[in-house]
Amino acid sequence: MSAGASVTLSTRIRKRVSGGNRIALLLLRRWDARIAIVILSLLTLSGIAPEALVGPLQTATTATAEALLPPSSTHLFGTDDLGRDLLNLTVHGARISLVVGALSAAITLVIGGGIGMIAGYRGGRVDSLLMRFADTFLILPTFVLALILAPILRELIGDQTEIFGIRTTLLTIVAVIGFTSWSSTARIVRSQTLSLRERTFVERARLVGLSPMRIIARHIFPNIRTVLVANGIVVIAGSILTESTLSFIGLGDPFQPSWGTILGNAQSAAAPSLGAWWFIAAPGCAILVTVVACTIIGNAIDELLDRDVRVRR
Amino acid sequence: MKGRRWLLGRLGGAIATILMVLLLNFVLFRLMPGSPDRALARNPRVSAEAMQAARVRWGLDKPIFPDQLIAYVGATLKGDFGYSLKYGGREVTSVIGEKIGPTLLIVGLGEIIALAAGIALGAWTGWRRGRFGDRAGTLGALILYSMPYFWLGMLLITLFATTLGWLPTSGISTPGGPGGIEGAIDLLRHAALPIATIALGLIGQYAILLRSSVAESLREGYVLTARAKGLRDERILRGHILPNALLPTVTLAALNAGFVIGGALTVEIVFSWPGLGLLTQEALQSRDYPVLQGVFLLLSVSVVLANLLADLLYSRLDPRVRHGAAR
Amino acid sequence: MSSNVGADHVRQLPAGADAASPLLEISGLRVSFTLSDGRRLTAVDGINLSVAPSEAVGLAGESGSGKSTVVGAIMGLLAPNGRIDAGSIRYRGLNLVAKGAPLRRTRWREIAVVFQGSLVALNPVIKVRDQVAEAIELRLGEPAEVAQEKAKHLLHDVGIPEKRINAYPHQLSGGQRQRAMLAVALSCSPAVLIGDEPTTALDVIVQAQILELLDRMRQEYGLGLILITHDLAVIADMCDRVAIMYAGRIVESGSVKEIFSTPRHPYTQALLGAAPDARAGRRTIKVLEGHPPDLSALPPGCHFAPRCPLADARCREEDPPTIEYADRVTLACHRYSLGDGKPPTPIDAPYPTLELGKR
Repeated sequence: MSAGASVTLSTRIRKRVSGGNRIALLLLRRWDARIAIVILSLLTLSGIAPEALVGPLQTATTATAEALLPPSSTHLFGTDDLGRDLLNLTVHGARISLVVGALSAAITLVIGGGIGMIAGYRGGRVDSLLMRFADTFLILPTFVLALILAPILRELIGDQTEIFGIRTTLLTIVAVIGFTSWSSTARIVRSQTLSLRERTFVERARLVGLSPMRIIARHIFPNIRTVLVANGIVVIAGSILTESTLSFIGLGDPFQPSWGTILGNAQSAAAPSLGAWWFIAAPGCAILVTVVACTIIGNAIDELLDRDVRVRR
Repeated sequence: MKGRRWLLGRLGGAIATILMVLLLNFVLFRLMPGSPDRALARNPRVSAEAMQAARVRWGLDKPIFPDQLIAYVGATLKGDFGYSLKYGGREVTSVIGEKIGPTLLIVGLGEIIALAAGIALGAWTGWRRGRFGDRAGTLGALILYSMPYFWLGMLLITLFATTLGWLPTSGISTPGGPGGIEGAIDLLRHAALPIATIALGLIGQYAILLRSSVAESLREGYVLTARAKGLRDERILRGHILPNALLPTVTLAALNAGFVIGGALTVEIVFSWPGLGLLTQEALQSRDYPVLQGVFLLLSVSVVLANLLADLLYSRLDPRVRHGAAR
Repeated sequence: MSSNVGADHVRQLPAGADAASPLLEISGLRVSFTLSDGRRLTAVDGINLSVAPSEAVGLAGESGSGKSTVVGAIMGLLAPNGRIDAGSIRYRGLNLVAKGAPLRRTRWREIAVVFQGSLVALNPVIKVRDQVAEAIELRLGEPAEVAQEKAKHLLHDVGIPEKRINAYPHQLSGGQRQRAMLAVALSCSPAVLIGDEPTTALDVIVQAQILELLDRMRQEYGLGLILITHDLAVIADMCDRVAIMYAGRIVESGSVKEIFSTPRHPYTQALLGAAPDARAGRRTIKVLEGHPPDLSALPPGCHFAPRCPLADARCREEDPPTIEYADRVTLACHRYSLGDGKPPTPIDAPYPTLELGKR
């Protein structure tokens, strides 16, 4: 009896140590994932401490240079229409775009993961209802929904709130993106839960008499963590894209310019017609590089998970 | 018959979703700071009688639930979307109606080009899976897929219009320009970059999807049979793999039809293209909620219809779905 | 009227082939695969096999014995990590292994395959009739309408009912699909037909029908038939000669009559003794312990030695030579030697037995 118990114990420990960490190690073996991780780390660094790298955010009043200067040794990325240094703006924009992206992704994962697990575990009518609900959100054009929800949320939250150093205007964007993008996460989590539900350790827990909530929390959730991470990374990429679009249109905050806001300014200043390519290139490339890096890592994790499942079977 | 019941089921689902959208629309806009009552009151161009008539039509003097809701749904189904604030009290339907044409032009052509090019690229990379052509092509598709549409548009303007001067920078036509055939050419010259932007933005999706479908099909048994038959590679790709691999791509194209109109919004802003996108931005800036509501409804319904179309298309194209298995 | 071009047809052979040479002759064929970690795996280790027109030869063995690799080698369709290390595959004298051999020309028009798993081997979104007609149109150069007509006749011939002629694969039953697969295989009137487990996954009655159909086609077309299967009953029913394969080697071959009545190789004895034979009234079955070896890590000596009750030290050190004691009758076992030209006396391998019906 004790021998059997110790076997079970060691298997449980092994299960906890493997999984996520192993995937992380395998990930580092791929050259494309390595580059992507380096890029994202650099960006995150800029996001955490932009002032350390380029000094405080330049505003209309503190702008030191002439407007629309092409890149030079003093201004590596050139200047914008107000004379602000674009390198400065882009690095500060990293903080805004990344935080907004991460926050909305967090909301998406919580809602999507929660609904997905419940739908997958319960099955039956709860499942169908939740999925139809999810489908409606999948169908609604996130983008126009955001346009409409933004003023409403602004009324609700009030104008001067700040969370994680992000002001209301952007918070509404965070909320909107978070509340509208969870459908696909829910679907992915649901299918993972469905397959997990049939595994023996879940059966055992059910037989023992644990409540569904307990089972979901203690048994299902730990096993979908890696899937959530992979999906989360891709969701962050999507959030960054959506946020940049919303900011571009003008829903952003001029005092906390994200990359999208900078591009919006470029558009208003007629940068394309004026040939001020640097104004357009810097923030855009930042978005591009971030999204590509996230997608590569997300896909790599997906592939590794796939292989893992096949081997285990 | 099995088929008919399934069709009715899907139609029912679509209608249910549209009703949900209407409900959402209703709730959102009643919550908004500019309620219909206030919107009407603020609008100086709408005559007093029209205002009163509208109030009655929309049931604004009755309780919100269920009377106003029913009135709203009824009015919407009759095509009454209210009056635009910005456009001098014109009906929202007419305002939207006049702007939808240009949007459909660039979105339609953009989709077609993206589909054709994306399929070609996807087939080419899928066939060469693992080799250099595949990696290069996939990376290219990934990059295109990861950039915001509007950024691409801005870059294209800077390159082709400003620097090279081949094409106009914005607008739909040269003011005071020629009519007739020359006018048509002028239109096309103006439309070229917007269409290119949309097409390039969409190619990535189709290429990536088709590539994975082709790569998957290559592992199927019938490809081995086709090779054993001694068929040429090109024939195997065209005659055996593509009919299988195209199915998910076609579905995606139909699904996209609904979303692309939304995505084209930003492209129109960049190019000052007078379509729904520009309309939406102006409505947003001037808080023209009736117009926003109308656009939202239009986009949602088109997405629902596009989904339905995608389902129908798939069921017609995939013989496994079209005819059930025989026993 | 049968749609086939049959035995009277003057066959146009590919360049380099010679109608007087044997139909298909495989000699010393060795095929190996390179695994993802760099190791080499020899799937087929020097086999000889031949087929004559209108003859049916069975290739028997368990899964993993290398049987299906032989098909890939003959058709030139090995996986990218596989290659033919040695030996020759001569179709009417034309060596298909040699550089520049007209593989594509030979495929389907000379040698065709009925693959295992017809649901997977047929394209699900193309009508069965079109899949038959495709080969006729593109490989034989017939115009589309003619190809369609011939396809229809061929499908009738193999027993597909009229109302299913224009069906998709998933609309046919398992047996009908296999018949369709056969029609596809016969579409270009090949001289050799290879059946790779053609009746696995079919129930016994349908299996009998398919085998009967195969036999009829063999006679009508004068086909040389190679039947690859693990089911000895099928071989006993259909084949004139049989080759028993184990771990990449042919351990015994000869006429079905002789081998099945007097098996000499210990593995053959185990295979034949492993199934209860209701007709012969046999109530004991031989138990063959262990499992087929890992082909990437083979110990020296006879591949069967680890499981053989007759194995001795020499068996575990030296590969047994293949002795041929009559025309195309071979045996590879140290226990047997070429004596005075007479067939060697069979040695009963002492396998543990199981009495049926007793606990």
